[in-house]
Amino acid sequence: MGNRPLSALQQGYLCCRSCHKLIPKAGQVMRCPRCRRKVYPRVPYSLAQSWALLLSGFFLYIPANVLPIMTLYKGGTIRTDTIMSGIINLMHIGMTPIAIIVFIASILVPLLKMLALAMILLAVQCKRQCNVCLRTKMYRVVEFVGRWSMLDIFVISILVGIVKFGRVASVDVEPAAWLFACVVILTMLAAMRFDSRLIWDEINEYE
Amino acid sequence: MLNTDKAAHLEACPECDLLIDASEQVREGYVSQCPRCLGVLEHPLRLSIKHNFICVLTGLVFYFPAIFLPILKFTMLGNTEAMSIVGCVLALFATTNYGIAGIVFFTLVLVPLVKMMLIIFVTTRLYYSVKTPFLAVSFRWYNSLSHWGMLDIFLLGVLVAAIKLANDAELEPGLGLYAFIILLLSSALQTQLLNKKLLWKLIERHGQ
Repeated sequence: MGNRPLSALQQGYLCCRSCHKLIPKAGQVMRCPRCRRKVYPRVPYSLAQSWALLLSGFFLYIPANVLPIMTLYKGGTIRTDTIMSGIINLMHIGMTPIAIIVFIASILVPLLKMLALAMILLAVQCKRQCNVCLRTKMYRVVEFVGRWSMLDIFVISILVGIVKFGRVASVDVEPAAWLFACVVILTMLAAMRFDSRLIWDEINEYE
Repeated sequence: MLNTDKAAHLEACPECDLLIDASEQVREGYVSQCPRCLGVLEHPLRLSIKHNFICVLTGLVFYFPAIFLPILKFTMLGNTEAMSIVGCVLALFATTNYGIAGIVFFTLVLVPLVKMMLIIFVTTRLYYSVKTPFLAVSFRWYNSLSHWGMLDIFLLGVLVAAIKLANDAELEPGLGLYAFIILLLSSALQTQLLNKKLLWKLIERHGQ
């Protein structure tokens, strides 16, 4: 091996995506001898599928934030909350740290995650070669942090499960909760579908 | 192409596809990183198969109390209502929120249980080196399911919900909460410290 870093693919090896076994390339369609899964040089249509999932997530994100996610009936009063008004309400009752956590998990993280993933996908599509390390780090953060946006969905389901006193107090789920869950799932799938090795592919060619 | 005895030590970084000579880059007992993208290739902090099995067994013992026993008890105007995870799913079903109910059921009930079953199947077979079919498939399923377990997020959700309700009425932690915390700790420990590389190597030797 020379001093120049080169990808396994360019030296005639494929790496199985599920068990990371290195396989010498032979023929068009191969199966991994260890886990019996089809091995591709890169995940097929990774970029296109990631874009599709990401964009559909983004379009659902807007109604998910504008429409109400839950309604609380309490002693004759009705209170309908969107994600943001729930956070403001938490701040009003003096729970600013928790409000900040919920704000980060349900508004900041999905938005920044979609932006970061879009930047990574654009950079791969335009074959950019600077800041590759930074993009890999961003991808790792996006993958790690994605699940935490489910927080609001769990809070709502706990409230539904515990506040059921008929006419005295009860909680209803509004459609935006389901939209928000879809946003989280779609963006998680978009991050999973993306093949992080694509970030580095252009680097090999010119170094 | 490289000659064969060198090829035995070759590895590709799963994150950036750099071809690595494992005999130079990966050292036992140290954190080894990919020289190009700094992804972790090998970490010394790993559980052995036996310890991993003990961890999963602890999780399995506490799984059923965590799912069925009440996690929070809520008292309002003399009425007490207890909430367990299964109760939560049922309440969501009863109010026709099938989508949310499905998500909660899948991420909190189904995925943790199936994950534990699969890893128990794989580790016991490998520990006693029994030749078994479906080992590779099971471990592959285990790996793809581990993205969707959300026990840790649910615990944070319990905290947020408790704070939202604290003004209106009395809240009390139930037995299920303690079982849930133990389940969460054991499953986090087991997932984070699982020696995937070793398991794949053993599967290659014993499985089909």
